[in-house]
Amino acid sequence: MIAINTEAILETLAFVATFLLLPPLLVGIIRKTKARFQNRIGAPLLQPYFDLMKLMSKGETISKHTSWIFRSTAAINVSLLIILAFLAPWTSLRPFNLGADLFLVIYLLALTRFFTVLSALDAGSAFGGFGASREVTLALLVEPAVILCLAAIGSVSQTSDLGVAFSFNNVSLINQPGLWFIAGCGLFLASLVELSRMPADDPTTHLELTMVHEAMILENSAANLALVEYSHFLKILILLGISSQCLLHAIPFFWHTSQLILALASILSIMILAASIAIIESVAVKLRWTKLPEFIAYSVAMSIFCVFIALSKNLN
Amino acid sequence: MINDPTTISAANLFTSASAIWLAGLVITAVGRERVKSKFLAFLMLAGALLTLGGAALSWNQSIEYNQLQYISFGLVPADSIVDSLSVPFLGLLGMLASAAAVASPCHVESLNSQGKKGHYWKLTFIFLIGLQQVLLAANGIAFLVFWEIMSLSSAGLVAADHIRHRAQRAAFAYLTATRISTAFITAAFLWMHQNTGSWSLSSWHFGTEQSIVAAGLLLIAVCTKAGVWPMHVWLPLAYPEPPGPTSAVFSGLVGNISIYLLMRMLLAGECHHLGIAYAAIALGTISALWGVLFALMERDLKKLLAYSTVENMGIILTAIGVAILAHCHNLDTIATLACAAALFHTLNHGLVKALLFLGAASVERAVHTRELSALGGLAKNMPWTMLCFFIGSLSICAMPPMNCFASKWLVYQTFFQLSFANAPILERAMSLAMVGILAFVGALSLACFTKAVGIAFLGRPRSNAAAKAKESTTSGPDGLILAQVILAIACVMIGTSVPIALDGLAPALRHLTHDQFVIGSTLFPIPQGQLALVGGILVSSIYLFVLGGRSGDVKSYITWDCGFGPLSTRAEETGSSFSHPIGRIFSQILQLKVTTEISGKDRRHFPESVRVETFMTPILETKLYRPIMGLFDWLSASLVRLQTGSIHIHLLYVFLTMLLLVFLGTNI
Repeated sequence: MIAINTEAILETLAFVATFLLLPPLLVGIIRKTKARFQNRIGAPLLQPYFDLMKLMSKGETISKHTSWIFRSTAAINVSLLIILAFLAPWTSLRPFNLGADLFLVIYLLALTRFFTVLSALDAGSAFGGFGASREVTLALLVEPAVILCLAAIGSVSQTSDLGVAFSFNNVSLINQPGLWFIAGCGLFLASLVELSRMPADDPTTHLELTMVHEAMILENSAANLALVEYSHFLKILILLGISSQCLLHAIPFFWHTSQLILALASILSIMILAASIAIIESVAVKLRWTKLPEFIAYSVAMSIFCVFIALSKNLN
Repeated sequence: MINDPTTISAANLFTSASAIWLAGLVITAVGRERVKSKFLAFLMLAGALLTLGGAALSWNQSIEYNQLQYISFGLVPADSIVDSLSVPFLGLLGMLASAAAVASPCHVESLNSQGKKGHYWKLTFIFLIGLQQVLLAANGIAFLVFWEIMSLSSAGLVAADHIRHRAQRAAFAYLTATRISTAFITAAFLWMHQNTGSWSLSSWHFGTEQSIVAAGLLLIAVCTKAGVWPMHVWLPLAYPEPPGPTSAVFSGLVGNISIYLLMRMLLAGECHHLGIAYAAIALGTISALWGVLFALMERDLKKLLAYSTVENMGIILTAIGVAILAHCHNLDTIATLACAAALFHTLNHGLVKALLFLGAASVERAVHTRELSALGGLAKNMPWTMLCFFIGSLSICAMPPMNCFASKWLVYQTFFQLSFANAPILERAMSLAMVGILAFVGALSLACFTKAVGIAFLGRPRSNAAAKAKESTTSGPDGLILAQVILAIACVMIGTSVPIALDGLAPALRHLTHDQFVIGSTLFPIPQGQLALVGGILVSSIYLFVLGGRSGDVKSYITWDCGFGPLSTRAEETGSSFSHPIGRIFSQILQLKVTTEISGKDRRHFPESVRVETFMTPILETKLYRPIMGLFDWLSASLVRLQTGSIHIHLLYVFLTMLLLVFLGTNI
């Protein structure tokens, strides 16, 4: 039985509008910030929307060597990420709690990777193979860090339901700024790698030596490419959202404030993280492939700190 | 008990299944060429279905019967017992044997010699009887006898293609492993008999101090037979060898039966010993990491699947270890979770691995090779195999909404809940570390199976044989394809209705945990079925409204070639290059070496010829097993001197032995 009231409907509408419309804006923010850093005016903030729109109206070309995997991957990934947007705690404004199980969230993300990698291998080009091979390698290094950060938080709150752990009213997590902060930083570093951003991958080049994500989607075009891009934007929103929620939980102020301020702060903090990605990309260089495990080690180290905090917290 | 009508009919079903398989064996032995393979396959299927029926009838009640009592093994008659723990495994046996039966006729018809056909049928029937009776055995002696029948007949199946050197080696390695494991099981059984004075399996309890030795012996035996590190070296050799259809039963049950033994003895027999628990968790963890890492580097499709078995056996063993650990600390919820995880993952893995091995058999039949470097692009010519293999891969990588996700989730949940339970801090630290390790293993297995699917089925064909591959021998899908479809449907069905499946396992869980209030359906709260439905609706609507409307505009063209003209298939990613970056990271364990030779006078940038070679030395085989085998060689070479061939010396030996026996007999 669902109680229908205006507030709930408004909340739902706001939520759906946020996750459908915000993702391209985040990419716009990243690109604009980077352009300003390079003393360029840069494309308009809303350019990603225009790009998506244009792609939708173009004619599609696909390789004759591909199978149904290639054709359906984009649609599957967008659907999976929409489901994830409903499940994962990327914003404090979630009108319904559907039980965001920690392992389910991680494995749904892995499922999108499964399809992306297969679709990259589908056309049989060297680029796709390169990208796919690198993607699984990076995933392998990052996965333990992501799961340990979240599992540490879950372990303190004694539930694997992230919706409960990230709800701003969990007593066992209220005075844990250290845990939240380190988890947030660890997840943010891991997200940089998962989202193929700068120290791991350069999203702006099409040079086969450097690219991971771009190499995998080289064969996609038109509406298919639009869907792939959009699912990538959604992934940015969700992953940055989870790390920003961790950081927000570290600040005591937000535990005692109103829902509206929290909701605005969630969205604002995601934008700030997007901007900080741009700053990192402007001041840092892409690391050599062989140096990447060392970079990811920072994220893993943070996740291990989280584990230590969680263990000591539960020390009876 | 025997008066209950369901009891009698279930017992009758099992006995008649065995009888039908025995009849099949006799008919093949007597009838030779005149018997149609379809008829024999029908017998096999009938036995499998009867087993399934018996399992269904007895799923929540324990039945003891002795219809085979006229077969006596000296000490005890061949009593049978069907209790709630053997039922799931009997169900799995019925399922896999049905699939194998469906796939059999088209396999046998492709064999060219009559001898091979007879060999196939006879050994398969013996193997099935052995498997079924092992699961039904009520006492140690009957268990050992049928265990031996099962082991030896499966060794015969491994040697099916015995003219090849590869199969000879595999059969030899497998035989060695089964000998070791039988020896340890016998020792453990004798020890328990000495302790309790009974041969009945259900009367053995491992809670006492004296039984720890037996528990340790059993752990070694099971690790050897299930292929747990470091005793797994036989597994990648033997698993690929059995002929196509039986490889499903072999891969799905040989390892699982030994896990069944471990569960029956240590979990149902209430072993509460921390040392055993730690050993199981440690071996399981190493096994999971080692197995998946080597699976990833493998170039042979079936060996890749075999190594993935090592990984999964490791995961199951860790779950069993945690169950024992939780029993030691009286953590009942965690013990229940761990038992459910171990049992459910064992069954799921059996089902999925059988499906994948059938897929690999189908690929091998079509392309006549298992080398990944010669496959590719099979999705076009073999759509059914591709779909089934894809479903199997999704499942074995524990992707939602498949069945293995549910069981892997239970494993995760076991460790996760242990991290905040009332346990020593080191164990809690270990459990969180295990969550990280499992995530790592999961990511590796994703890499491994995207490689298997991507390199074998997607892309462009890497050889002529792969380009001309034909899926089935007839115009429509034949038996081998049908068997895969059956198993794939089973995987999806279990995955989307996990609560029902877990409810079905609840009697077995009650048996394992000794807790009468276990409710299966509440163990797994994620509504996978609904999620799959929502996902399906979303995907199809996006497909229809965003992509489908424009299918008229879609232009088909070659793969992007940078404007250089058609790409050679040599430019494609191969299996080895796909896994190379990960191999580089773990080059110490894998002993991976790459040598590059660029020749041509002063031509670093414009070489005349480039030669790249990669080597992998299996570290365990060379560093651990070669010295041991060297020792045995040396010992046998030294002992051969005793055997002089002179009758006098041998008479002296007989005399000395008698003296020794008389001495022992009078003094002990």
